[in-house]
Amino acid sequence: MMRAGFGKYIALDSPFHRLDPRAKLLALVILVVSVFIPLNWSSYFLLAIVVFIVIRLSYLKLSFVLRTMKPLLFLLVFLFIINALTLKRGELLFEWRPLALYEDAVVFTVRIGIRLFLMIAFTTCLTATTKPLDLTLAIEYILSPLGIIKFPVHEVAMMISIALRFIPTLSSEAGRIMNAQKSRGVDFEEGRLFEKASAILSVAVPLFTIAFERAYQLADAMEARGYVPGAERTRYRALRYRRADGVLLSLSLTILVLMIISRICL
Amino acid sequence: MAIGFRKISYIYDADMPYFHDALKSIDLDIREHRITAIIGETGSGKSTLVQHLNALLIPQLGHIEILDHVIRPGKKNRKLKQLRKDVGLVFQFPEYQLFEESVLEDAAFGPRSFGYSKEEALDRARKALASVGIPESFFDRNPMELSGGQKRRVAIAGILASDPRILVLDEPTAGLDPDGTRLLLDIVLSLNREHGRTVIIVSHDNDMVYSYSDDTVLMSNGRVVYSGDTLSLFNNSRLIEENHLLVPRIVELKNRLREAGFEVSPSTRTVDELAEEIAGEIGR
Repeated sequence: MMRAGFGKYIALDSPFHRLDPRAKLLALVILVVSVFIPLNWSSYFLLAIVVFIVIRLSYLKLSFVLRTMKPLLFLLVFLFIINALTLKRGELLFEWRPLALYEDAVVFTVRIGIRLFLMIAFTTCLTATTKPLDLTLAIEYILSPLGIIKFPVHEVAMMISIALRFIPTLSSEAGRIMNAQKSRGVDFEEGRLFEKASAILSVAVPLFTIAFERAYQLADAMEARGYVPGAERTRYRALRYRRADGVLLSLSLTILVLMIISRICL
Repeated sequence: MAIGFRKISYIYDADMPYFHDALKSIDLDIREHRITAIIGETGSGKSTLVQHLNALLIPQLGHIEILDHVIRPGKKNRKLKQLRKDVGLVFQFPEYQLFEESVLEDAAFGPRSFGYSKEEALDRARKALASVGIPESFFDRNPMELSGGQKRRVAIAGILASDPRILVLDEPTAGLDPDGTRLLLDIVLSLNREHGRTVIIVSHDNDMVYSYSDDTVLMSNGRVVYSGDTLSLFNNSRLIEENHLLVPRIVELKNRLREAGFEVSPSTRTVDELAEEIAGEIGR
């Protein structure tokens, strides 16, 4: 029933699960920036080793992380075709009638592929080891300076966390409704256009009904517990930085600096 | 035999660190034209088992014989539509599957999907709605306007309209008031007794199971612990104790009557039958 994929939280108890979500989010931003700096292959090799270590420390399987990359493959094929047709610099590698493939087209595509690969791997490590609610808490902390310019940081964070909270609920409801309609003879894979439309409708209508029902219930439950939008709130779970979080951030910064140096000097 | 499970295993998230083996080598026979109850604690594998009956889940190991269909792991199973027509599955809270604009159209949706003509489907829908006690004045109404119990009966009619040979109900009475519960169970009983349909009910309500089912399958931890006659299960104190079963109230009552010196037959299932029996004994 549950399908593994990009952005899914995997409940394990790894060193990375125990880190502070704010530190992890900041480290992710720093590392993703680092990924887009260097041009030489040895830097990418170093980053790949870092990704591998992070995956190991998150107790994730390499195969799981690789599986989230599937959509990336299509993107790269598409990108390669465009590059091959437009980039005419570097050495000529291959020529067939009017089609010519130059070195730069290959190098560019491979480089973008590696960068995206590293970026998605880091992001997967964050989302797989951090509960969605902790992640929104971290976003709220990081965005909190925006409160000065009257940006409703808390309300936005609350909306994000409610939306995230309801993704698994609604997707399991959708699964149940799909099963029920399959039992009534709906074929979601095959069928003509009209049948397809009716199949989608048979899931969408009940799902909206459920979503609205849930929304009203949630609003009542929140009001019953005294929630007032915009009011000052205290927190039950306070986030606290530990030594490990400091280590993570300083290592990430070190990598960033290394990548900047490699870009300038090599 | 209506249904035969042969060494069926099913594991959720098999390649994840938190995999869950929901079914462990299940061997099970379910008899035709009977009412069979499936009971067991939450997480014992009942729902997983039931989803196999309709090929919503395909077994990972073993095979299932359902009427004249055989479902095996892996390879593309064809004719799933025919199987789904033969086995009508009523999910928990089936009212959520209603989506058409009128009660009649929704009940006709199943037969339409299974390839009946529009008139034939509507005709079947009318009969099915009548059989669950929905009056004709409701046919043109929007299903969303109905009460909870009525919605559920409309949803069940939507399954019955496809004329399944086996009817599977997952917790059919959850969330219904006592009147609605009784009405629904009487409908199910008459479907079985008068039309000979094989009925399978997943339930937590042992009172209902005792009064209505012929056979019971008791599941625990992904295995079948007991499969056979319902009365024998609830007359077996060892099985009841080992599996922490809630004793049906009618069984408790019978035990107390026995202690008080009445002779009560072990095959009495309902309060009405029991009352008659006692009345006969006192009258004697």
